Amino acid sequence: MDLKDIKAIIDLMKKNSITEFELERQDSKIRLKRGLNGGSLPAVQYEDPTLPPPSQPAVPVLSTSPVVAPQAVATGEIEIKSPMIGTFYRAPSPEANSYVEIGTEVNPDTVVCIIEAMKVMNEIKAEVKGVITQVLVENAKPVEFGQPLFKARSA
Amino acid sequence: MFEKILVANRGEIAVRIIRACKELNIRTVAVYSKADVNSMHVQLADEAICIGEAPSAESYLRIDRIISAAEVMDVDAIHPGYGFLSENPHFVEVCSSCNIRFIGPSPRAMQLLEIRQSAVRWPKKLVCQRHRVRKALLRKNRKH
Repeated sequence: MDLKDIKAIIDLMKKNSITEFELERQDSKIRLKRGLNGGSLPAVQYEDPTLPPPSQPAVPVLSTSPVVAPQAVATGEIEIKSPMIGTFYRAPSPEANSYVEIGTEVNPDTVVCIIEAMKVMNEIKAEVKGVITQVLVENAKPVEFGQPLFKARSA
Repeated sequence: MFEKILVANRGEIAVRIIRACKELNIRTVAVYSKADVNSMHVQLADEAICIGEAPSAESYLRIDRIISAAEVMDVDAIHPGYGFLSENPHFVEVCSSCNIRFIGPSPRAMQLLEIRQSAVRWPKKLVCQRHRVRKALLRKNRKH
């Protein structure tokens, strides 16, 4: 696709008040998006199909993550992700204290939460060594496979 | 009529089921593996939940994860589509024990169909065997 084609598409978009345009071919993919004011320049995204696609579903209920195992995110923190689908509980019972709080030191074998699946309470281990910096899910909320549960700073 | 169902399949099969549900005002839950996060069936359904890694054996064929997803999303029934768990009598029994309706034949019907398919397979094998023996004999007779 050359510049002449792109300009022609942009003109057509303006003429017909189209705000978004996407075209995928065998060797390329292009996405054009016009600003809401109508007068601003269109944002162009040109994607190489050999690269992995963006992982963002259009109608998600629960957030997703690219990998299950704990991985370092941009700030140097590690995410502890759910290995199963179920209901997330921070404590072994409603009256008990939470397994971990912000600032708790964890080892790979430290139980950080429970995920209830098919009436079975599964203890979830941290699998990392570090300090909990953030709790990402509320108590008794559903979680999906791969959903980040905690953020931790690796020790 | 069901209020919400989980579609335990993907691709065109799931899309067709979801579209039919839309016409019947039934809310839908799509399940997807990490490889299918951008699929049409995920975008078309009212809700979606990730159930595992890319291989089918770790996602769409995982009865425990399908059932967990159904429970967490509070669905009335599961539509299995075609292939995957649609002809698995054990899956039907698990659905029943978890008070989730299975949209498909009973385990008994599945077992009978499997018996029938086996019953047809054996005669076919024998016919092929007899045909091979006959051909070998003809070749042998021609030589002499």
